[in-house]
Amino acid sequence: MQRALVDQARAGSDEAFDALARMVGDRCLAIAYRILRDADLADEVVQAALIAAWRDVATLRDPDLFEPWLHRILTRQCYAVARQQRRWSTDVRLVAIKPIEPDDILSVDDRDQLDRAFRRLTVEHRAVLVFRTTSTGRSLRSPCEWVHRSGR
Amino acid sequence: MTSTRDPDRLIAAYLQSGPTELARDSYVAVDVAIRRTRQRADRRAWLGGGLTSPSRAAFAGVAIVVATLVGVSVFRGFEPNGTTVSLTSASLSVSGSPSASASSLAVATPTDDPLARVYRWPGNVQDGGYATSFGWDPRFVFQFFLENDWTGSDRGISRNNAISVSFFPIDAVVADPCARTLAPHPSSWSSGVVVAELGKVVTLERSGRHPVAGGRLPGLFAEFTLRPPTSCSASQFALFRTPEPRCPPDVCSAVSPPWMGMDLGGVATHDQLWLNDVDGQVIAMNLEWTDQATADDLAERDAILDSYRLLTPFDSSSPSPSGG
Repeated sequence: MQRALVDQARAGSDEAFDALARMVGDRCLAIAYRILRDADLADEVVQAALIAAWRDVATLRDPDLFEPWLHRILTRQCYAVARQQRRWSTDVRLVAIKPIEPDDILSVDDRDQLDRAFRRLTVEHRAVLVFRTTSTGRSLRSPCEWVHRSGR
Repeated sequence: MTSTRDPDRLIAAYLQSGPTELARDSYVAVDVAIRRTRQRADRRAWLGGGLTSPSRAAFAGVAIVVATLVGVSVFRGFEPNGTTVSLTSASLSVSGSPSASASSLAVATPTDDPLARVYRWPGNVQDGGYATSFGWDPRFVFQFFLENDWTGSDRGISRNNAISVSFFPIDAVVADPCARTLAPHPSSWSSGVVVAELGKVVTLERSGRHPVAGGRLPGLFAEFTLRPPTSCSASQFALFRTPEPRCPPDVCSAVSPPWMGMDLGGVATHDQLWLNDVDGQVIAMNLEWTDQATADDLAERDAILDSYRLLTPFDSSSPSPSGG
């Protein structure tokens, strides 16, 4: 069904693309958030990536590779946003005021340590880590290859 | 208390935390945006010698160039905000220092196109649609839509000093780019003649017909590389002579020299020249880029290529066989 929607979107159907977006949007958000660790930025990036995908979907050669192709676009958008954020970053880190749900695996300390460690990674390294731990069914040899092919 | 301290498990749990549902408002925002965003055509089919199916006219989200030949004065409604225009003899190089008084006001579109707006040069151009004759024959109006950091100049637009797109009619091709002597100009002037003569002064890497589809007129394209000249300066170097720009006296106080050469200064550039034959004239769009162009720059270049159109109420003429 996704392939049929991609074919229709390539032919110019915005309704078909809208349906595609709703199929893949949540997953894109999860990926973007894992890379950027900021929910608002992740939301913006996903929107930008979907719009870019609509614009360029006619250039997609294999409709079956729509989602990996979209993820490449998404990753590039994450890189671009991260670069912008670096220009304006300060030493003050905002802490989201939200209740932390009890976790069977992660203690509050674990989460805090991982959070600080993750933020020290470059956005490219974060992307590798995200895709290393995410199963997407792509036939790629390694997440490094995937990230490299995203143009970074 | 965690039941295991396996680092992989901890990292996986950490990465899997966070929002998992895109907000409904975000889907709505995307839906609205795609309805006003035009798709890019597949340029690989375009450059492959023909489209396998009629392509949609597409803005590509970056730029569209439409040269419109109109039968009414293009300067009607020219001063929507009361400003005047003057063209100085500024250098054709977009990297040259702009004069503070060098400014050109675009003509208002003769249609009620809501996209068209005033275009000024030199300077950054805001995202949006523009219409301008660049001081050429007022029957030509080049209409284009821009996004993403373009700078306007007297003959076109540029980005990051790495890519330029210029629009101009071609009156003659040079026989010697530094001396600016002209090649013969036959009475049956055409894009085929331009390509044939151009091939005598530069090495054409590729040339041929570009396909007719989606409102495109017949035409030719040619690709070549320019190196900094050794016999003259880059500003002296020229490939084409253009007609004298025509502006009403109350609009233009001076015009730029009628030559087109290296738009990005004295550096090696790659060029893609797209030609159309309209009413006995040859109209060109030239894409030029340096090796310093980034992937983003090249994507912008491709967007222009995908979306280029030449519309005219005149009968189109078939191009002469390619000289390249």
